[in-house]
Amino acid sequence: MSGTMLGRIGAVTLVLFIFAAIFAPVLAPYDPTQRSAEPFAAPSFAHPLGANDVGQDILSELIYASRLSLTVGIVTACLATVLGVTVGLVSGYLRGPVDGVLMRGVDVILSLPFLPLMIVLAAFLGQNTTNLILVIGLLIWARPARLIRSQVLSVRESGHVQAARAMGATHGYTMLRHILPRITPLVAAQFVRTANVSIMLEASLAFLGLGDPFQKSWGAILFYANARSAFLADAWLWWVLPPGLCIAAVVVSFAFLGYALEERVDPRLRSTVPTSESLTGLEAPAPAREEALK
Amino acid sequence: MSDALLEVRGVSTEYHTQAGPVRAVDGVDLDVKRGEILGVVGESGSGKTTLVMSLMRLIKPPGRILGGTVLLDGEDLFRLPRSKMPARRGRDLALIPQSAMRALNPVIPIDKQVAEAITVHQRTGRKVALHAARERLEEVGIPPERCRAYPHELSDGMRQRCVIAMAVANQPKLVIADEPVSGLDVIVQARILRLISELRKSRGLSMILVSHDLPIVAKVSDRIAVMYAGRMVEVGEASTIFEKPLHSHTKALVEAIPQAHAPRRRDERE
Amino acid sequence: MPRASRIAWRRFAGRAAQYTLIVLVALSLNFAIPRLAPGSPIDYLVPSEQISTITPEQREQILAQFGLEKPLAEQYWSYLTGILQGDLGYSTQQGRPVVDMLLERLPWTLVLVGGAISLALIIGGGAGFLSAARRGGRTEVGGLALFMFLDSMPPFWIGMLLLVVFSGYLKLLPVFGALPLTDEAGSFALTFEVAQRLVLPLLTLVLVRAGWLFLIARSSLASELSEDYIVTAEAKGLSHRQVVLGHGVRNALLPLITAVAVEAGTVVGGATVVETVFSYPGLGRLIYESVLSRDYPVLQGAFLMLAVGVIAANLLADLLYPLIDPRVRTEGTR
Repeated sequence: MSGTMLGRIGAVTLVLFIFAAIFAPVLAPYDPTQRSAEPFAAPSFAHPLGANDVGQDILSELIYASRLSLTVGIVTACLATVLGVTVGLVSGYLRGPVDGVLMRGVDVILSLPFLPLMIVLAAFLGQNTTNLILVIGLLIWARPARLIRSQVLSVRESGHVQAARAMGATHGYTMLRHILPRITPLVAAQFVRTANVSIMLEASLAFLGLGDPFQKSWGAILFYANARSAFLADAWLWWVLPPGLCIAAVVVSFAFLGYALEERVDPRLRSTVPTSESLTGLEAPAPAREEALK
Repeated sequence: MSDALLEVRGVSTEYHTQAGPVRAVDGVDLDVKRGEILGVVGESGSGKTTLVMSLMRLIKPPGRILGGTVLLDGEDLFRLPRSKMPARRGRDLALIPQSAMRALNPVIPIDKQVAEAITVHQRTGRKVALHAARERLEEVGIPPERCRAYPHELSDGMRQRCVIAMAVANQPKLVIADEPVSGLDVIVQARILRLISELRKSRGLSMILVSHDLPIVAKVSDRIAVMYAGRMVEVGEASTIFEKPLHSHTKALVEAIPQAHAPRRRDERE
Repeated sequence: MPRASRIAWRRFAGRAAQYTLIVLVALSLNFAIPRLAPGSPIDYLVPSEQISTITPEQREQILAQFGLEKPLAEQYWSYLTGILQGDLGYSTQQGRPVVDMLLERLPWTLVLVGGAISLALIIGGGAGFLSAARRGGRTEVGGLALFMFLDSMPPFWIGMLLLVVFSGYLKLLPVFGALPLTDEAGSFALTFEVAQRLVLPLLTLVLVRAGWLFLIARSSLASELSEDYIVTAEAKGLSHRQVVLGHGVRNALLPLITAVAVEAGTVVGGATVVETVFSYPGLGRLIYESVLSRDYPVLQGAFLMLAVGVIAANLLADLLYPLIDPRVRTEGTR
């Protein structure tokens, strides 16, 4: 089994989930917002995963929830990647005081514990999907920004960039037409990483009750499972197990994809450990020590 | 034959590679007399380092020693049980490893590292060992105020001296030096070689000096052995090897020496 | 050696300044967020049930009481000075000083987080070192994939599963819910209950983090053991064990310590959700409760405490590192 094979597995799994999200109305047996069974109904042929405390079919909930989970994950990753690339590109290219200020900012962000901060932000700014995307996206761009900046620093010294500058290319032109294409593989890998992280974060926030009250994501399903817990009901396991598996499956698919992409970025750097520090997205690391070793 | 400190017969070592097993050392014989320096010359890939590692029994998978005998003062090192070998290393048989830049542990001060070489084989307390270590370091030319430094704080030449001090700390019978001066500046090279010569004289050390650099080997060695593709192809006195190289490979090595670098023999001005 | 200690001082001062800046940012965020939020700050200072019934006079009164009509700069200043004196406001739900509530819960979280990091380090790190010493560090992609999958499981989900298994099916541990701690005088009973409450959350957090530390430890030691100085050590006559422990592990600890310092932030985040699942009476659970009950002062206070904790942990690790790795000590000189 190689990295590429992992990447393929990840990609295929993601496509399946995206498919399920898009075709949810067709695939789901019931409308998840309508009561269609007895509360806490055990799994049966009509309701393969049983029903929740209100009597809504869990399987349908699960399928529809993929829409929100995936949407938030991907849109947030887009936001974070755009921010991260912009900052990383500008910072690494211009260097000097601009770089100093930007990286200082990045350091500060990375020193704060992400999840607690996101909780505070989400609680104050209101619970809706847009806020969730903003709250997550405006924090997780920091790590990709650092990594992209590192690569920009080295690409900037390469022959064709120097040549372009010597021929009078403006900064903007150089950044867009010369540097950006060279860092695309890294950007792709980082996009996938941030998607992975943001899905996990969204799930955590939803689990804590900060999700969109009108549309449930997988994390939100688990919030209700926990809040309305009737532990002694047999159906509880079927309420809890599938959403978590879905989250894990999507997160790991992104992780596999990211692994395969990173391997292509630089096989030499391929250590025995995935380069991203944590895949669960709950971290706020301080990069100071890695700097200290340079 | 009590003249011969080391008698190596038929040592073979192979590595398992993706292309199949490769014999890096193929049936090598050599002798080292007491008090002599035997130079072993060969290009990269000739198997010199593998030979050195084999003699020390430091070959690890995917490498494997296939067979042979290595008689050090009459004791066959290859027949020893594995657990007994560490007692011989550093005490009877010492190594000056290749690339002293990374041969020292970067986070331990050099005096402690030399002291470790001492405490492994002698029953002395830590303080005594540290003191002795600092003396050894001074003997190789490291001033006392630098003895507590970390490897990255020292120059290449000083690091090499450290490693030499570590090797001779326990008065070993035989010292094997694997490319002891490659990568050093020319002047530093000369100094280190001089140090090695002096140590040999003052302590009566026997030595195997391995290098790809023929002039250097010739400067210091009594006899020279030439290695090619895992085999020992010629052995002779240092002086005669140049005047009358027998094997085609030796001829090639001699002819490859640029004129200005022509070796001077030990008995000439040093 | 005066030069070395001057460097150490400069380094300390630089780091302290940097971290003070970060704390200041955290404080400022705490100040700014309620004022940026939709609506007026009043909405966040009053229990949610009462918001609709407030009279204009009461509004005025609250505004005056909290100094909300003063200029922003003045508010900011009194906010900062208040914090330094330990004033974090009052809970809208319980009316008690926030600081008291935080200090009540803090020891629980400290024990959980500290215990989780220590255990994960010992178990995961130890196993990783053992594995590298025996077999070397090449991971087949299959094994790596398994780890990635385990790492992808949400911590709160793992907690819930453990709860179902241990409390639901096996009935080994009682479900605590929101029950207060027993007031029994006997300290043994108290300790026993604390331990009971601690087991599952601790287990969850350790499970979640240990795999990661295992990989790091293994890769770190394997990489050290392939270095040249290991050969030198062996050539000196050290036994395999002496080499692996005295040289290999000693050097491999450094990246592991970095990883653990990074862990502080992650584990705190994980603890937040895990405490919620198990109704463990720590700061994380407090955050959850305050979100549900819209008790904003408590939420802000808890965030601040967690943030300062993580920042302090990072600072500590930062300062500790040069003591272990001498290569870093002369940073900034030559």
